[in-house]
Amino acid sequence: MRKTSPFLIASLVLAVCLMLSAVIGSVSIDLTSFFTIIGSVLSGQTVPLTLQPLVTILFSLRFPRTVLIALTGAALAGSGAAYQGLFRNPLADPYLIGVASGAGLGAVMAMTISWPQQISSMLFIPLASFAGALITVWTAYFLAKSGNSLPSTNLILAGVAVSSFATALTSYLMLYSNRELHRALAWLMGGASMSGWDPVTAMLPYTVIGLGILLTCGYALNVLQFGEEQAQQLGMDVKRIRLLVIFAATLTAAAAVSFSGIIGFVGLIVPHLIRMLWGSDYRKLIPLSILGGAAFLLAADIIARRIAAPQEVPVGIITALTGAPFFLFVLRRSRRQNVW
Amino acid sequence: MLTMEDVSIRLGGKSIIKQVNLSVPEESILGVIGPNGAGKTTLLRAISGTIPLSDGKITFRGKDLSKLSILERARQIAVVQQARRLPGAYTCKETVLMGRTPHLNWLGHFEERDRRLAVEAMRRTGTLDMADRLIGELSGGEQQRVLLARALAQTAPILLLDEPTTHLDLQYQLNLLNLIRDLVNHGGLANSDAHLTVILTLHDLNLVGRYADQVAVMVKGSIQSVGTPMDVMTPDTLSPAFNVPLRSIPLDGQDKSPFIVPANL
Repeated sequence: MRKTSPFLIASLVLAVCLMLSAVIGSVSIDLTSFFTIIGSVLSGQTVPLTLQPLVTILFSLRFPRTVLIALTGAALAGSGAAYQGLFRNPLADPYLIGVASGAGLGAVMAMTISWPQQISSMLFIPLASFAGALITVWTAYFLAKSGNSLPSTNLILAGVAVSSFATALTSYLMLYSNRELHRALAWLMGGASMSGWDPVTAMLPYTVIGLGILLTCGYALNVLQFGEEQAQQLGMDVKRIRLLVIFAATLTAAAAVSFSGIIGFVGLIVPHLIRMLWGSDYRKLIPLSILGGAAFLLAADIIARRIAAPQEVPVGIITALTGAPFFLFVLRRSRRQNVW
Repeated sequence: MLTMEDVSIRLGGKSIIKQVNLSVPEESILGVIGPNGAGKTTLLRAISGTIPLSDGKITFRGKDLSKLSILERARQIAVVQQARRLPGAYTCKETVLMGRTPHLNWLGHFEERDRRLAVEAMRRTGTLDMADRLIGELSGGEQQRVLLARALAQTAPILLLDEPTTHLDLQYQLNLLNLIRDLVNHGGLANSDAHLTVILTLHDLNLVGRYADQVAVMVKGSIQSVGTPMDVMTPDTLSPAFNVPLRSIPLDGQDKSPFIVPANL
């Protein structure tokens, strides 16, 4: 059984999480009804009358949220794995290196402007997030770089500094802006505050493009683990790879932040779990992190919805509660094991 | 022919390499010797394109190496560095296969030929039995041989080796140099039909004398003398270069250069 494909296992786990996320909630849906509805819809038959209310719940509430959460988890974990590979640093995650707070700042700045229609905010908020995130990640990178190397401690310190700066600006904007930003506050806490299919369709292109690019970069990231000089001697154009990976990972992470808010630690925990289970080959690590990230965030979201029901806890709190101890564990472990 | 014409390198206002002129015929080994800090490693880094030339040019088969793209250069030049970082998480086999990178597409898809060349490179360097071990678990000498295997799998016509015998015990030092000699004499790895031109730096003067076709003595960034081991490996040339009085111990009636040892040992 040791040879079972990691992709099969990760896909099965994700499928289970998708299903649970759809059926668990204030109105719980039993599996028979669930499969009857799915079966009827897929085969084009009419759903039995008794199940009609559940169809509305599933297709207008549960599925959009489930898909949004899955996309967010996939985006955060996929970009986290790519940042770790690019910076050759086990602690590089979209939050620690300042990408998320930069994206948050960009998004809040966009929210302070009054847009004519909701759809334009759907379009411009992610772009503003992306711009904010790109600026912070480049700043952190250049602050941390010393000569040709990028020491872990420098990267984390620079990330923390840049993050705090962006967060402070964000808080200022939220306190002193005339516009109602309670939506921004709820959003910053993490948790899908927007509902319906609109955010899903708005987020999908960014995620697909970003993750699609990252999926092709696995081999290049493998070679890059030997350092820039050796990678160059093996024929890799390191500067081009760096630009490409930063662009794609930041696009993905910024999209996740602009639609789901600040959800920490997913990009850190998931790639590490995958590494421990199945090794550090980025050709596998990135796709498995994408599947695993979606599953992990769905699980966290189910807990967030049910733990204090009918109240809903922001999912960012759940991921931080599990993530912070794990972070310390990784910090200790990465010094002595051959996972890098 | 690999030719260096008036190659100079300045780093941070300091002149590290001064007007080096060297030509290395194909299918031969050039040994570069000299005291610490003479610029040997910098010279190799300049040839590999890692640091740009401040002046002069380096050509191979008439082509200016600095005009090649990173990918084209990697098809021409393979390098084993002295100081390097190795990620612990890859197996030897994965590491050696990465030598095929300049011949692969962006996704890194290995063909049958790539796998065959990697296995051949591991067989020749005696690393085949550690194929599935993680490089982080290996000793310094074993890592050195794995990196040589990776460079061989690259099947580039120029091979640059910076202190390839450090970390190796005597047996493997000789194995490695014999292997290099053999590859130079017999055209690289099987089925790669490359004529191999090797430049290596070594601290062991007597090994250089045995294995190099040409020896260049480098002092403070300049080539002080260059020629066959017979011409160069003399106390008169080497004593001032290393700032140590040396004497030679001739070998019985052979056309090989004498052993060089410190005079007051």
